[in-house]
Amino acid sequence: MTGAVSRGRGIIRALVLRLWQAVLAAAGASLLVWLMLPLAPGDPVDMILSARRIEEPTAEQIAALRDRFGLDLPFWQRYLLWLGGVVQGDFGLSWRTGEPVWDGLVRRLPASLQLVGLSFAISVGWSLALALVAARWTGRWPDRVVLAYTRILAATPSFVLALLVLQFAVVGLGLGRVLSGGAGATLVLAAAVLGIDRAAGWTQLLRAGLIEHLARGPADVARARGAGPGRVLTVYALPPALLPWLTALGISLGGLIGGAPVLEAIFTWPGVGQHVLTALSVRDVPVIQAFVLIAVLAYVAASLLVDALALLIDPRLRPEARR
Amino acid sequence: MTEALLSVAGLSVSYGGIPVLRDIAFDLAPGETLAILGLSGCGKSTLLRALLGLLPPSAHVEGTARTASGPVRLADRAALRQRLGREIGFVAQNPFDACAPLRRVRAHVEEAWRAHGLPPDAARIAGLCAQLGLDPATLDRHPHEWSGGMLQRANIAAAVALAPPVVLADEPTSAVDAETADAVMACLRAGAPGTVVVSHDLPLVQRIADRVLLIEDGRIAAVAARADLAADRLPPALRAFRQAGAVARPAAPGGEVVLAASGLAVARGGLRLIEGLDLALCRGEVIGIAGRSGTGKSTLLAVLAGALPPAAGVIRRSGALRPPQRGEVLSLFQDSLSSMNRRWPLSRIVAEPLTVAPRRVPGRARRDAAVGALAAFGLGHLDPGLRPEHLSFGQAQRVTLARASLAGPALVLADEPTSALDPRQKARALDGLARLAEAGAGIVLVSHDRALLDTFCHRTLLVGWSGQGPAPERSAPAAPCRPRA
Amino acid sequence: MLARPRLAAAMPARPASGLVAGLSRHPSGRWGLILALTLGAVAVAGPWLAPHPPNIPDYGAALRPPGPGHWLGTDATGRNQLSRLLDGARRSLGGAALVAVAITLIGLVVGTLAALGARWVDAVVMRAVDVVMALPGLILAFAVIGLLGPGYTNLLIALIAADWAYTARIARACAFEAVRSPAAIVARQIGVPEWRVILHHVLPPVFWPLLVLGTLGLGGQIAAISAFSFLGLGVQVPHAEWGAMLADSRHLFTVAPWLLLAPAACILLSVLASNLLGEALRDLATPEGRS
Repeated sequence: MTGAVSRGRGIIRALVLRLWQAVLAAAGASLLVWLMLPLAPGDPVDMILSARRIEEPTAEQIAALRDRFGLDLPFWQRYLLWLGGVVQGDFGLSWRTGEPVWDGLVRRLPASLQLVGLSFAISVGWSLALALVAARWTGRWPDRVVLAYTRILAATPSFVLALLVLQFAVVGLGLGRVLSGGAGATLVLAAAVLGIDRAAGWTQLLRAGLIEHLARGPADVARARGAGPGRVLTVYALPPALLPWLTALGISLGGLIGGAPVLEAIFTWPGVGQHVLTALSVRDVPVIQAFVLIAVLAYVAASLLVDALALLIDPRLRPEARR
Repeated sequence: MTEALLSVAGLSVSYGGIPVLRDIAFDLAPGETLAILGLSGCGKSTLLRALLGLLPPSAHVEGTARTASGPVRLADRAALRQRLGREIGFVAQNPFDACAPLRRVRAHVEEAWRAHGLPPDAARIAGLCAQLGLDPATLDRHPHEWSGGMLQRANIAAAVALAPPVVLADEPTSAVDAETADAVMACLRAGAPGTVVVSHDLPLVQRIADRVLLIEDGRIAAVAARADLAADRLPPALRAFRQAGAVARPAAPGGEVVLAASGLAVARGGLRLIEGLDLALCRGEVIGIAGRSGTGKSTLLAVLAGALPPAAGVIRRSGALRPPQRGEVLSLFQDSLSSMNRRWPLSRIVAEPLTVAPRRVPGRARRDAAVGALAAFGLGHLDPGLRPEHLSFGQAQRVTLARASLAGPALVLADEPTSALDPRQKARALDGLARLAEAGAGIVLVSHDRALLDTFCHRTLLVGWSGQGPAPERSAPAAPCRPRA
Repeated sequence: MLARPRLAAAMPARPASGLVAGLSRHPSGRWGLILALTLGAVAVAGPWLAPHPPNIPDYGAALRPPGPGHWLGTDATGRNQLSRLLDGARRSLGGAALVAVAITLIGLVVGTLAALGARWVDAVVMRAVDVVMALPGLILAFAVIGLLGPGYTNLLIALIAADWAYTARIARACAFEAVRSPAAIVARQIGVPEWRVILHHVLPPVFWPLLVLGTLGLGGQIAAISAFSFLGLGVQVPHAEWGAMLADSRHLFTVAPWLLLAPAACILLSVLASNLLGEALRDLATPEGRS
């Protein structure tokens, strides 16, 4: 039998298809981001000038800017030029500073990745643990405590939680010295706040999935074979409940990336976020476009990874499995 | 008498003080097949789940079961759990629902050992495969790659893996094709010294059981031994049970031909499923369509309804080559709830045909007509302001029949309208269908229940395979249909 | 923020009659309803309830702790915090409601048209939705703000742009199923005209999931409006908004903690109300939740 071979091929074919869809989505998103420019009110030259806080420009200054940023070219040509540059890692020049956008971002990217990565890990572990505890003792006090806790945290935006934690724990209880002690402590605190806040929604989702699968046929049959509650929970409820949870993780990774700038601002963490916030406040379009595109690519990559994981977990998703 | 394999005493279950099962007691002798018979909601499933410790914590369970290692209180779940699999095996109703879809079937069989922290015994699994006619290589596939009949055998292998003296089975053949049901049942009875089968299917029980317990309203209503199961010697309670499920064929058909198909071919996704079908249906006539799942029965109904074009052939409606007119065709579905607007009260659902010309009548008359139609179909006791969510499956199907009676269709297309119903509900729904036929509708009834088709329909068409010899695993797409006497 | 709540795949709907009764029987719906009604009433009646003008500084009364005259204290420029909270409620809650209603209407129209329209219409619309959904909601909102510039109106536009696509996709899925549902098939067989089939059998099953989605999304919108205003990208000075108030007072925590706690509590309670209400509606809309 060549079952294993054809199975492997099926998975590869499905992944290639998803990869292709992801490339299309990224290309579509880049066009969308670029297309927003004509929707923005005002002449780009004026926007550049105001980004640089030049109030009374000379005609030469304007002409130089037009030439430098290629603003006299037709619209589609500018898109292709921009896209061609992007593929080579050239996101153009910042309207505000005139320095290459990529340099400004890449310097700060590692710090942001550390924050997002660590908070993601904290969030995954914390929600997994809480949901398992809640589902193991459904309807009893551990479940009720978890439920009340997730309700309150899900209603607390991460920046509010961050403010409260920062003020109470750090300023109020005098933990400030810990933070001034080093970047590591700031990183852990910021990541914990962001991760724990995100974990509330994920816990609710996973708990609901676990409880649903605990009530299904396979769990009942395992119990009828003599399996104990722990085994039924981890072997029969957890794997199927992980599937929708993973999809949600992939989707809300976008929220994590989007939520990071706010936390970076509050914890004064030197990531991409602060840079982007400055760009937002002066409408420095090339920087915003680059940030959006990088975020979209990260998001698309994350959902690809989720799809690959789902294919590994669920044999029914493999194309050759459909009869 | 030798010692019983399983003896249950004083089993009562209640929820919040409301009793569901009352003082059930029975013994299972070695070599015996005991059937537990009853209608939906009588408590037979609760009985099974109580013996397996599967009832929710809100259930109050009393009583004891004595198995090979002595008596155990059924409320003591931890003690009971030690015996599950080892002394009591379990086969669930739907094999696809019983197997975790993400795990290989081998893991499902091995659960018998792993549940008790034991290493799986590969030699025993191989032996079981040989005994039950399973190909050991296919165990490494996932459940969705299996057929229902084979998967149910794997289920049986898992149930008897640790050689329990007793196996409990919950309607083990109801989700399996009729053609493989007998083989599955034979495997089940060969697997363990004693078998308890829960069912609402009296003919099946008559075929396989050594003894029958009839459960009604949470109590044992009758016990009958094999000798008393012959049709003419049934005890009164069992005779009443059979009577409740009795089906009468509608009166003889006559009159114009409402539907005539000739040379009809039906295709799905480019594959011709049915070819060369000739069919003529008179007013008042019921034609049954039988065949295994996937043979194109539902697609055929869609073609007859005019929703899909035929792949070949012509359909004449009341003699003319034309699409169906308004109100001429009406479909009935297995899931009758899905064919109702869930936001509407029953009176509005039933009277929907009266909102359209030429049957259109004013609002008050519509409501009166709906109340009358509900009463005509045995639902006069229901509040017409009720919403569908409060109906049982059987009531819901009769509501759609009442609606059909107000539409007065010439052709009714019914797709497995009774397959979710217990015998009493089924008999009532078929009674309603007969009423539509007597009012002048020609009926096409699709079902996998051959006994039903044989007793209720005037003619039955077999689609998909010739019907001779053993059924093929997959139907030959081009096999002809042939009318049966 | 802008997290996308998961819906049960097939969500049957619930009759409108008895909705309030159903909510008040539901354990969390009851509290959600009470909280939401209270907050809504406060937001509407804010200008009449406010004891002081919200935006006029009174430097002589700066940083008063809570007490008679200023029940929730005053901020660094002596403005009455209660008045500013009441004034801010209109922007935080009203804006979120506006965004949720707009998203629901856009999603309903786009999704239903895609499901009912020709195949190519469906394909074009759904590919557009796919592209928009490839951008995470918050990132899309950032992009729109970056292009339009900071400001309250621009923020609302950004939030609508960020979230309409998901609603449209759900609406399309529900409408697609409802058009082909047995209830619609039977109605057509009876001869009910197509516009009435859509009105009676297609739109209601689409509307209810969208109501649940919109209510659950409301909390995300409230959080997003306050987060963007906190960053200075939404409501601009001197106007009051809960997130902006947090930004104004965050460095005053040691001297005036009430300036931080009161707006934070307002945000938390509003999001909680929307979540509780949304969960209750979701339960009421599924058959298992009715008993």
